[in-house]
Amino acid sequence: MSSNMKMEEWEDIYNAEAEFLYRFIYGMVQNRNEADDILQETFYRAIKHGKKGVKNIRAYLMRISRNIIYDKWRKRKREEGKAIQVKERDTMAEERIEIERAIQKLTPEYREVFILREVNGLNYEEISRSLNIPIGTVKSRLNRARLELRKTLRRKLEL
Amino acid sequence: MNCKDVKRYLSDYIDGLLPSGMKEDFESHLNQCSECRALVQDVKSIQKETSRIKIPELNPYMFQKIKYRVESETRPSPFRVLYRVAMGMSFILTAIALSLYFFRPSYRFAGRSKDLYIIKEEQSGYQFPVYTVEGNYVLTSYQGGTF
Repeated sequence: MSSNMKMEEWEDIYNAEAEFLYRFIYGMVQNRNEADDILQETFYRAIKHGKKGVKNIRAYLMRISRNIIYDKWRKRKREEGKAIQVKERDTMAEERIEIERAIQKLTPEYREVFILREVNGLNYEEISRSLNIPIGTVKSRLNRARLELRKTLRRKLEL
Repeated sequence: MNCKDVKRYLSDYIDGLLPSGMKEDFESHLNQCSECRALVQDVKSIQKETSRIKIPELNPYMFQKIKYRVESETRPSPFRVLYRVAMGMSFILTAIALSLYFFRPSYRFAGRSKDLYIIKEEQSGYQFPVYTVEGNYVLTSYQGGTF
């Protein structure tokens, strides 16, 4: 694989996509160290496997990072029987902490659509392309995610 | 439009994707239904709070770390280099040994050369036929036993 030219090419891709990907990953895991590890692992795997035949590099990177996140969750669930949560919360406002907790309670499918919409600011079509799912599915998942969040937070927040 | 429709089209309304006619119906229902109004307000508040979630700064050395990791794993280790050298040398030695075996100046082939001259047993002093190449004796195949 890695000739210098290829690494330079990957550096350009990194510069273009890392920020976006990091927002998504952090939104999903809500832990800085874990988000750093996942971002690093995502690019490492992408570089190792190469991008031959890849048409949409963002969707490709998203797929790798989602696989890593889901693998971690599955592994953690098996090992501990409980969800992830060690956070840097001390400086956060209480409302935001509650919202983050509620986001963590969403199912992964709802969570990723919600994060891409509200944290990454993608529109429905962009979410559809990033996750490789139909726009109708994006809409219904986002709707369900919002309703679920509202249900969870209703009793806790003075909205 | 009823409460069920409001839940159904909630995201379209929040994200400004409802066609104008439907939007008017939606808002007209909100004006009449306090529960649906509260729902929309809550979701908008959640949206506002979520947008304030602070995403940490990306580690500026992240790509260097990734690059180092990729390159250190693709770079051969000293043991690997040694292994390759040893394999190369053993290949060369095997090739030399095989060529010596097949192309050695064996007595079996001595008789084929046009430069060979037969020397009678009594001339050479040996008890079997002996050839010579440029004055040096070369033993030929001897069927009667060991030399």
